[in-house]
Amino acid sequence: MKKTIILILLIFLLSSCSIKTPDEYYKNTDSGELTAKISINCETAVKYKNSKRKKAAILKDYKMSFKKGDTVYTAFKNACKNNKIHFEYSGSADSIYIKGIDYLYEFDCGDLSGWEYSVNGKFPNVGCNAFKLKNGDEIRWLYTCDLGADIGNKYKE
Amino acid sequence: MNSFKNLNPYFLISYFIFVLFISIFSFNPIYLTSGMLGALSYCFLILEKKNILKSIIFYLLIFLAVAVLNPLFSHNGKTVLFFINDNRVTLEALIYGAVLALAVVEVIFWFKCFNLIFDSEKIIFLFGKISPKTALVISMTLRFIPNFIKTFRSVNTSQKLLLKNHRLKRYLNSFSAVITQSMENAVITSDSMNARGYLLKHKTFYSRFKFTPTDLFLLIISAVLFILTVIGRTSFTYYPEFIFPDLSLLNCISYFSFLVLSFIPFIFEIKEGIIWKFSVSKI
Amino acid sequence: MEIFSLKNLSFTYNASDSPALKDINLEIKKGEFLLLIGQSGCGKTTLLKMLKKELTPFGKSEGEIFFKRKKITDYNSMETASKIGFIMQDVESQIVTDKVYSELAFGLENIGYDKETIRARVAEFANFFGLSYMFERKTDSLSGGEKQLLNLASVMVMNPEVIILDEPVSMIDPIFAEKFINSLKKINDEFGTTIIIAEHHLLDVFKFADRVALLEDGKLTAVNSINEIYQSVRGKEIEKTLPVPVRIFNCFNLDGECPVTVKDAISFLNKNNIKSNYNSLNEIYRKEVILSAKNLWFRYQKNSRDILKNFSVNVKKGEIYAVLGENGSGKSTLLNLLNGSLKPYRGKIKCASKVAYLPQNPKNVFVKDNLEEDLKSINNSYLELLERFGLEKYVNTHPYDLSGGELQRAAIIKVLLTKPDIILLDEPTKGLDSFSKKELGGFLKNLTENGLTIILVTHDLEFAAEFSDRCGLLFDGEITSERGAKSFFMNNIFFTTPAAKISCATGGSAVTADELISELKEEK
Repeated sequence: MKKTIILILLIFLLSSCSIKTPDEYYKNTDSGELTAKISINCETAVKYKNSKRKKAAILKDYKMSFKKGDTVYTAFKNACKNNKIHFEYSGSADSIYIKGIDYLYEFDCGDLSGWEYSVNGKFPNVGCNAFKLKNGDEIRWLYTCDLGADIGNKYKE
Repeated sequence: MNSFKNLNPYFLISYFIFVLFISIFSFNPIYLTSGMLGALSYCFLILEKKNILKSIIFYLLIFLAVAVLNPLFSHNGKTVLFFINDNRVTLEALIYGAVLALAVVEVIFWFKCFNLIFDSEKIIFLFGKISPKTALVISMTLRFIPNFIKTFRSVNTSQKLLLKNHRLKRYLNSFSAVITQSMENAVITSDSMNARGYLLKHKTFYSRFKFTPTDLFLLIISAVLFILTVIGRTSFTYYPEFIFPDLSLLNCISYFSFLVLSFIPFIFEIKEGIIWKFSVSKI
Repeated sequence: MEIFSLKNLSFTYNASDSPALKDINLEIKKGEFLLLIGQSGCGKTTLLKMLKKELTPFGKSEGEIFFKRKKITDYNSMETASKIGFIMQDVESQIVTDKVYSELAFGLENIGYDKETIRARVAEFANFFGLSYMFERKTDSLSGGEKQLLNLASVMVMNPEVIILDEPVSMIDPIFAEKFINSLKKINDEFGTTIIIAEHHLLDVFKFADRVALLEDGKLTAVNSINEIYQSVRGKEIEKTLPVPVRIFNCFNLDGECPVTVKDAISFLNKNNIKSNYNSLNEIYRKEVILSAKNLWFRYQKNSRDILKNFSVNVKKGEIYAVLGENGSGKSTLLNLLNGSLKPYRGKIKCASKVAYLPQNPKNVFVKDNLEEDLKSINNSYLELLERFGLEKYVNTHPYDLSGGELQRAAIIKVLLTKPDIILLDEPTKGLDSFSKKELGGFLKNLTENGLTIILVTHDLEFAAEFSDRCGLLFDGEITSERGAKSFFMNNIFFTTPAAKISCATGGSAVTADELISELKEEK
């Protein structure tokens, strides 16, 4: 009895997963009528002491299209897919947090390091899947080693 | 033929510290494999074969579980095998999981050996050198616990036969009764201790162990091997892609040293076995 | 030279008004084997503890104790700790550490000898006492007898000049008790160690004692050789607790040496032409089987040996059935099978009645802080039972504060409250003095008269002879001989009571001391 329950649960769990090969995953998913610009930069990590990173720009002014109602996360995900850039997120549907991009992870450069994003130069105070994009927005993902202070995001109490 | 077990606890504890230090901190599959083989070979000599096979199956399951679960939680790594819910499952994470699992299982096996070798007597010996009082307290505790359990069982059984109480209530009642009884007995024990001069302060510590030239020899060998292992530059990078440490002479020496270090119990045991056979044939 | 001399010693406990010891004068010579006898509660333990500075109880003392002509209070602890050894009745709690060798070393570690000296000394005494075989063992794996022998050895390693023993063998089985007393004699002979021992059930102690001191109600009424002490005990309650040969001697106003062994007793009777009567056995044969076990097989683990092999027994309603046997013969296991807490792997126990069980340590049935509260948890009819058996005055006492005999009876009362038909008793006489044993026996008889059945396991042959209806010898996993108690002991040659041995040799049919005495009297 116990075994059957476990088996059923397992099958259910597996069927809820979507498994894709890398080729399927990296298929170009560019679609939509609106456009935005994305860049990903880790200059602070390059400057960080003993850093092995040489290149600051991971993605530079990439122009992409998106549908109305898409969030920063959707655009970012598609941009990464199209450029075969690695990223890892954590969290669920209502709050997604980007832990690492291009094998550069939070805390890799000290306790205060991690990824933050800005839209048109401003750092929104919400998760990237909650921020809706407008046509022509400019998204920048920046790596910080000091809770945002070194990339112009003054932390306010 | 349990001769490794009979060596001096000083040597034995240093040996285990050396081996476990490398096993826990190296995170290098080459060390881990040789450590694993060393532990297994010794276990095979001193344990019943049936038991080992049983436990190997069990640890294989642990191994698989850790190895498979790691890539589901860690998505780092350049070699993508496939995506699950847009999360990558990478070769690097899989291998990292396998190495982690190997380290866990290896440490478990060394602790198995540790448990077999370190009976209470050896542990008390190690403490006794620091403080005879501590050794005495441990020894008294080891006497107290089995007594306590025995009395508890007896009280609990008679309660069970007398009353149809709830089990938890019965346990609590029995427990408090055994505590009271133990305190009564402690008065007699303390009398017995005082009668034998405990109030003079427990000054020295008696143990049956001697530090023999064999112990010294093995201690020096192990220490040298340990140092040779540590000086190798063998740190292994897993993420985002594997970087193998180069096979320089230094590193080869390091790997070889640890291999020998891990096999010391096995070699010693086999050597004693051969000497024994040889001396028997002479008789 | 006297090793101890007590001058006008009196002692009163702090909590008590009347003195526990009154004006005691006693000289104990070096190398003497002194036996201290007296009813329980007469102050034996107090007197012995006064001699050991570290154990002196709290209270007011008068008079002086000299140890080797110097006041005992003038010695420093270093000297008294090693020079005066003390062994108590409680075998279990005296052991301090977990391993035999560390227990042996304990005293020497306290004094502060170095490792090599300890090693040599411990080896010496392990050899002397024949403890080498258990040197590496855990102390809790030893039998009661081995434990007490270990206690003696752990005191002896300190090379004491005196050993004081307070009923050292009352908790252990007769075979080890004999071995223990023999070891004492060996110590006394070979090292000249003075022995002061309180004990009175054992023949051997009387055999070895140079002098006997009689303590009555805190007063030392006589100190004399075995041959002369009988005059002091004649007609007193204490007389009944003495070994049979001594009692026989006491019965007759005859000259000559007091016999202390069975052999001496027989030759004493023959010499004086005393014969004993042969009374026909009138054993009651009960018919109704209340519990029957058939072909039981039991072992604790798959690979261990069988404790019971094809064991069968039929117990009749209303009898006291005694299972006798050595330590480790499986007596306690048998009781656990009968009470259902263990299951045989083959065979069947047929029993339609309610069974109650009393563990070896009667303390283990009590869980509350006073007797009333504890008994109340079973049911409310306890008062009647307590009154019937004379324990009503202890209603508010903590069960552990009862004396051995009272505790045993209170424990039986507790299991009686569950209204059982059968009671299983595990070594009910363990640690009891002769008087309490008699009381307990009478109590059990009383219960069976009311229709209760009692199964007890014991190695106390005298008790079984006096109070059981049938006896069975448990050997090699089964009952090898089973008879009515009287014929059981009359037919056994070795496994029997001293009284039966003497009676048999003089043509009598007695199996207990009382019977023997009365038969002898009739002839005279």
